[in-house]
Amino acid sequence: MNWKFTEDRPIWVQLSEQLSAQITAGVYGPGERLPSVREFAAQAGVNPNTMQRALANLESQGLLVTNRTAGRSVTQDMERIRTLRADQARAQVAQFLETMDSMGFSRQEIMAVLEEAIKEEA
Amino acid sequence: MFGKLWKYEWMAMMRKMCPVYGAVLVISLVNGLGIFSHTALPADFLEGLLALLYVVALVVLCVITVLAVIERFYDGLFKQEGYLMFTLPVKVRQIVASKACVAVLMVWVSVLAAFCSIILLDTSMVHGIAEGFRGFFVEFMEAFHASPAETAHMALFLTELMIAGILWCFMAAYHFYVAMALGHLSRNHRGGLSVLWYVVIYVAGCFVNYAVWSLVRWLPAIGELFSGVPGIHILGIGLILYHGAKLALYAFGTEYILTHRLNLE
Amino acid sequence: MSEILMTCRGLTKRFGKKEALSGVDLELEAGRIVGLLGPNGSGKTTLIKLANGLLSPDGGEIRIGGERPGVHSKAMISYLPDQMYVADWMKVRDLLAMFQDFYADFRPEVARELLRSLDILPDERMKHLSKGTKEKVQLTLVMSRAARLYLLDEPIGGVDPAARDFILRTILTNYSEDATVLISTHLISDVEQVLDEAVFLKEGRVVRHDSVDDIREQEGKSVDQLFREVFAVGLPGRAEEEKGVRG
Repeated sequence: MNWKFTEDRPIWVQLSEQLSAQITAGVYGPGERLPSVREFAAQAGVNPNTMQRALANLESQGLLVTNRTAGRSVTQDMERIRTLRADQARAQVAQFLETMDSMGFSRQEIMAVLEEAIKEEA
Repeated sequence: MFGKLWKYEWMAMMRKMCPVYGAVLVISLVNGLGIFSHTALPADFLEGLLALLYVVALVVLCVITVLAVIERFYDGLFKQEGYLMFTLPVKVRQIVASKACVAVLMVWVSVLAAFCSIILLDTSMVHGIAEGFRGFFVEFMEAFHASPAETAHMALFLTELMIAGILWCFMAAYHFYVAMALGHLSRNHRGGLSVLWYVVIYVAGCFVNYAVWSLVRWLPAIGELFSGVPGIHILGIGLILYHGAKLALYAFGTEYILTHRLNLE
Repeated sequence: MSEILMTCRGLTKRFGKKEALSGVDLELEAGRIVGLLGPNGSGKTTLIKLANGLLSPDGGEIRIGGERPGVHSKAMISYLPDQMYVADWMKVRDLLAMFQDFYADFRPEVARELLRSLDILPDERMKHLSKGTKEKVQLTLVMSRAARLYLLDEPIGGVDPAARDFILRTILTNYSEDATVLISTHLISDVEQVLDEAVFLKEGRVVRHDSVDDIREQEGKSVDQLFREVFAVGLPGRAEEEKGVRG
């Protein structure tokens, strides 16, 4: 798995963003157990305390649950994951629209460009 | 911990010395057996050459023995290896003492190697030496029967001298050590200053010797102490105390500097 | 607040007339990975050697686990020097035995596993190994101890990216939970991700000691960027200089 960090923000924030993206993308399925903090940190090449902070953040968002015996795993609350997935999509679209706006595209033009791009891809 | 330090120090020392011992013994064996006496070269020339080689080998053995004592301390503590030695969880005293023990033992092994090489040179000497020991033992027993008390005192005195001798060996090693420790206190010219410190301590030791000797000679009361049977023991124990005191002084100085003033730049 | 492992108070060290460290006050807590950051000659190695007892301070004091450097602190510290310090003639196996002999916290199975992952045979003699491999053996020895305080002097100086990743991964997976790791380096971008805290050392003084998260949150920039700003003042053409330093 590839982890990329930018310079301007704390690493734990970026970690939890990328992790939640992986959860909604299904890299880690509902109820799937996560590696230990230490192992996970070594995989990502980050400090264990940073990883701990990112995971705690996701836990407080309800995306991860901690079981005393089984360690940390992804929530089985599908509704929660679906909401998050929709949120992420909306955020991406909002950003896209903002960029297109600044480039002077009207809504209709945007739709046309999008439809064409999707057709080409297929 | 001391045992482990000793083990690694001994391994490092013998790695250095074994080839030298081997070379000396081989050269004397070649000399002794006269292996090359049937070659075309003139016998005189060859014998002369081999004898010269042997003398050179003995001198080299002496020099390397002394250099090894110095090198194992200087390189082992003040160069790269010192980073490891001084970060081991052991007392500095143990590190230095392990080096001193190995150094003294190695000097004795060197003496033994030189002795063996002489015997290899002429194996008939073994007989003479054995005779000498036997003669000494016979004479000793005779003397013991004639005057048991005096002979026993003499034997005790010899033991005292031996202990003093052993202490002297350690003192000599720590003399090198304390000089190098003092030399390392300065930032530059550590090697040169170590030599200087060695000489300074040596000269100071000579003055002390001279002062003690003068005292014995000029104060008849003290001089009288050294007469008769009690006198030899006063001399023997005096030597033990004297070398022991010097040893303690050098050892304390070395330990203090390496514990409180260490600077590995 | 957790246990303090290392404390410096007014720590000063002079080499001749030059002051290598000037009145350093520093506290390191247990369970942290701390970057000791500064350009060459800023006093990083001096500070680490003082903590190890390889140098004696000229002023102030340094305490490890509450005590001055001595047998007690040396048993707590696992030290990786910035140069080779093991005897060349020894086999890798001998070195493992030696560390096991002297350090009660040495974990031989960890060392053997690390060596296996590196394809280094225990029967290999040190002098037959390449410089990079020797360094990895030394790192293996140091990280195989379950020490309280790891002092790593330039562990990633002059190594290729693959070796750097191995070194950082080794550090991350092997240091014990309640231990603190102090990594000195001038290559900040390479280690930034693994650090909890950064200590900036400039001309023998601590100019900043903060958590990496705080630096990023407060400054809106990485530790590496901040480092360049702190140390670039009055140094035109620093890009070239840095290349020189990296070499």
